[in-house]
Amino acid sequence: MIEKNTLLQTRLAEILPSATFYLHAFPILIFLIAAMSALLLGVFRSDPDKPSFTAYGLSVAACLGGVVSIAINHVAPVAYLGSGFLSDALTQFGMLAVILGTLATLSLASCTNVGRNLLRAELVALLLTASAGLMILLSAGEFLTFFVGLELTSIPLYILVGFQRQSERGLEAAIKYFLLGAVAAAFILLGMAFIYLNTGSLQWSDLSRLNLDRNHPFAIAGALLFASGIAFKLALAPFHMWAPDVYQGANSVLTGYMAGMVKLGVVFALIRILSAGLRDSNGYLMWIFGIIAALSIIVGSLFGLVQKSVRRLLAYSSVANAGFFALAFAVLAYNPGSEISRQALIAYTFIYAILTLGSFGVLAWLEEGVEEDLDRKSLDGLGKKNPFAAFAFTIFLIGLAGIPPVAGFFGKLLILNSAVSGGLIGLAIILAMFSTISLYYYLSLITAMWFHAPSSHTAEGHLDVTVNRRMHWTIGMLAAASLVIGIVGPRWAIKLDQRTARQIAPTAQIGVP
Amino acid sequence: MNEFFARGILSLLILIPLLGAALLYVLPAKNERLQRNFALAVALVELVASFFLVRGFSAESYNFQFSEFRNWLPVETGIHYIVGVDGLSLILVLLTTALSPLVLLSTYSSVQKNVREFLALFLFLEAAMVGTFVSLDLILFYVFWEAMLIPMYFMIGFWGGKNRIYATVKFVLYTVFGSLLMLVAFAYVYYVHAQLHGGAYTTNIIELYKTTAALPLNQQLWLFGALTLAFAIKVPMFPVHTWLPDAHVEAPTAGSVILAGVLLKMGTYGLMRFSIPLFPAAAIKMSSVMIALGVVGIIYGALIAWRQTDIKKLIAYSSVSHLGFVVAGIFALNTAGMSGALYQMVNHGVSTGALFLLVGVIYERRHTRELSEFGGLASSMPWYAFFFVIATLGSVALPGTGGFVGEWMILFGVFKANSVLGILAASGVVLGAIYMLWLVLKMFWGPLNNSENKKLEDVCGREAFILGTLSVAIFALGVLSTPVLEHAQASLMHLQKTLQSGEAYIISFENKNSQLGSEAPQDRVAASERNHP
Repeated sequence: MIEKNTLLQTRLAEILPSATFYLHAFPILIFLIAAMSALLLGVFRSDPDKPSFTAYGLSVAACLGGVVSIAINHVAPVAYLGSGFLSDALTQFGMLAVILGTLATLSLASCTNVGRNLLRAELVALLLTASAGLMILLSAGEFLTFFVGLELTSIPLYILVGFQRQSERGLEAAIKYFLLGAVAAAFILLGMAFIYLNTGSLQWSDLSRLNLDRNHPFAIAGALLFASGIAFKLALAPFHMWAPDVYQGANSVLTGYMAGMVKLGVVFALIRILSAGLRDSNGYLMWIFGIIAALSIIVGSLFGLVQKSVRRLLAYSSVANAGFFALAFAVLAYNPGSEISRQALIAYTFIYAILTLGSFGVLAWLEEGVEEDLDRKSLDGLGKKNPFAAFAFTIFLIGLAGIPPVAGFFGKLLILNSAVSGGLIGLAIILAMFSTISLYYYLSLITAMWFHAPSSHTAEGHLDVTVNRRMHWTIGMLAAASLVIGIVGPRWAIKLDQRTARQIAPTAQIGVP
Repeated sequence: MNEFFARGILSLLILIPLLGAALLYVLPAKNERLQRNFALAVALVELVASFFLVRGFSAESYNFQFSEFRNWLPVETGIHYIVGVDGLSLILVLLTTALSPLVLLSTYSSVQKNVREFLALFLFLEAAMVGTFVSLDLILFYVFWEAMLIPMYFMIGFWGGKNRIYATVKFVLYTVFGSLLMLVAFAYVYYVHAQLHGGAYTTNIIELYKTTAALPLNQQLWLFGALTLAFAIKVPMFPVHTWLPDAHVEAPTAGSVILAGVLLKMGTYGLMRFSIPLFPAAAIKMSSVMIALGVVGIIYGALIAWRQTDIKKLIAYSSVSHLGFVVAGIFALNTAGMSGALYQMVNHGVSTGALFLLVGVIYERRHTRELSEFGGLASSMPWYAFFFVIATLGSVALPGTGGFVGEWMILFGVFKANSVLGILAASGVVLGAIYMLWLVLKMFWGPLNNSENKKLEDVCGREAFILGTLSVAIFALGVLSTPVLEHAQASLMHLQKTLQSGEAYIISFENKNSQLGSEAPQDRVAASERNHP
């Protein structure tokens, strides 16, 4: 009996993670707990359609708790649950970014009437779940956890996109996003299966066994399928079709979250996958990502020119920017040791998240009281009517265009450095030329805001004074962050110890490999 | 005190206008007069500070002086905050700080809406211009170079003329197109340096001069092409000059003056600081092509200017022609040509700046710039005519004005490099005289037919002061060429020697007034490089 007990204990100790796991995964756990509690709260509410400020407070508390736990946690690269959860500098930084992004999203949502709809208890729960999914995604060390994280993010987002049941456009967007997202998930699963077929392992540390050559068509097919699925999630051309519709249909605050934070999570996961040491000696993956990058940059820059709706325009801008990420993926795929590429990706995703959250936040502010989504005309003369919003939006747009002294410049610089270091000079030149083209549409928005006279359909974003003050604070913080990073440079991203992103050996093997 | 200035004066020169721009927003919003005076005071403080720069500068040395070396991005990236001046940048910094107060003074009447924003943008622009001239790190240079676009974009777009939006967007797109390709070239150089030096990254141009000069010729030619395109757009050289007439015509007077006076020089400065010393073999190979493009610019600009009916456009095209001289002089690649080019940059800044101010004066009174509207102005506005003629003389390079010295040296240099092109360039001098004197003839002489021109007010005291200062400068430059140019002589001689020897451009930091001596910054460079993995 006693023997049996000890056997059980040792077995349990093998399966269950050690106590420090709970400390390191605290942000994920607290987000999930907060999500559950918010759901429960919703049950006891008399009018579930009203925003629940208790749930809001709960989620803000969860965010603060997460930040504190990251601040006091000691960063030592450890793997838990096989390599299902890696705790290293990259995880910590990614989690911090996700938490701050969630906080900014919640805070922006609480400012506008449309956004406050997002604060219904069950929707807050969904948002928190999506964030938890992102954190699982970026700390995963093998395909299964990665997929769990990805779906845990995607499914709440499908619902959130369509939560405005009375809006046709929102429903259309939700259906589109859901159907295409499901297909992409299938692609990713199939790709994972093919890769597993070749390597016999789901752990990314074994990806170096993947034979990407002509004799192993399934490996190539797997990589291709996986890359396509990822391209869908990142809105990379030619898998970008959903982005303009979904960005246009969803609530602006949510769009900022989708465009900024989801990209961040997926990119971080891809950094780990590509750094794991794929033997891409023929450069297949490099070609795949290189072509995707070129296409996205071209499509994003050209199609943005003809858009009337500001949100669709920003959607194409996000396609072009995702192309920059893909450019660094291409370099990283060929040369997994490329530190520059990792720095570029980490820095740019973070900067891009700030810029997108900010610009969609401004849009949410301006859309207040406007039924339709904004077109370029409705920005005419905004500089006169709401100088603060116009000023902040200008900063974000200059940042997206990559002109110093706003943070976007360093993102672009690091990506260019990465491309050149990988020998992809042709792609670097494409990036440079099409950035000039996309600059035209950013400039056209800035031009409309400052140089055109205000007209009757200029959006103002007039809200009551206290709400306006909160909006000022949130957007001001984001704008200040992009300026400060633009002046001192993304030091943290460069200093971040990404050696661990390459490999952490699992501490315990569970069951059969 | 000297110690302090030697260690931090360049940063101070960048910070003063930035601080001034921020402080403008502390002043009462309604009191525009106070804001104008404050901005002017800031620009004057900047001017005084730049005099300290001249006082402490030692003309015998070609090294970078007053250099500062600070960490900016993490050390392992090799991207630092490095500033310093040699003779070349010293003169251009001085041109910037001297023109700025005069331009600000001219805005007292010409800028009436959103005064505070204009002044803040102008001071921001001044900081960016000074920063461009003093940065010795590729990325730092790029940041200032691009940051300059933002205030210029708003100045043309908000305070400009009828077609201002088209002009300002065109200006920004042209510049950014060139600079992004330049950024790719920078990234390449950055990467190649690391490859050749065991993974030690740097964007310090002193280090890169040594690396890039050793690259094979075809690589050098590509990189030279990318950099030179960016600078050529800014100069602007034929055939990428088409943004300039639009930008000039639509810009407010202050914008035009600073555009002609300083911004165009950033292009020619870039050629002399980056294109040529970074890729000497390519520069030598391409020198005839570049001189030829310069000469085409001279003649083309002059011919087009001749046909203009809008006074401001005429002067804008004359800039194309004058900058053609500068480019030709630079690519003569000998001391005469390059000193002439440098001198001509200053002259062009002064005389064309004066001409744009003069156009602004008449535009404020008549709200038109059509040449056919004028005639016989000399009798209704004698002082105006007086200043206009002086600026014209400076522009056509009459002996006794600075332009004469500059053009003569350029022609001498170009002739030495390529006699055929030298002769063609010389024809540009004649053409320049034709269209400028023709302009003066049409505007000021002949009968005073137009009744509106009869009751025009002559220049007021403030305008007379600005124009008088510039007129004095035009003639002063005619006789003071030696004291001005001797500051840059050492640098230019060194550049020429380097080009002749076919070796890398070797230059170092030097801090005369500092107790730490000349070794300090280099040690830190070396130390930071040793730290690399």
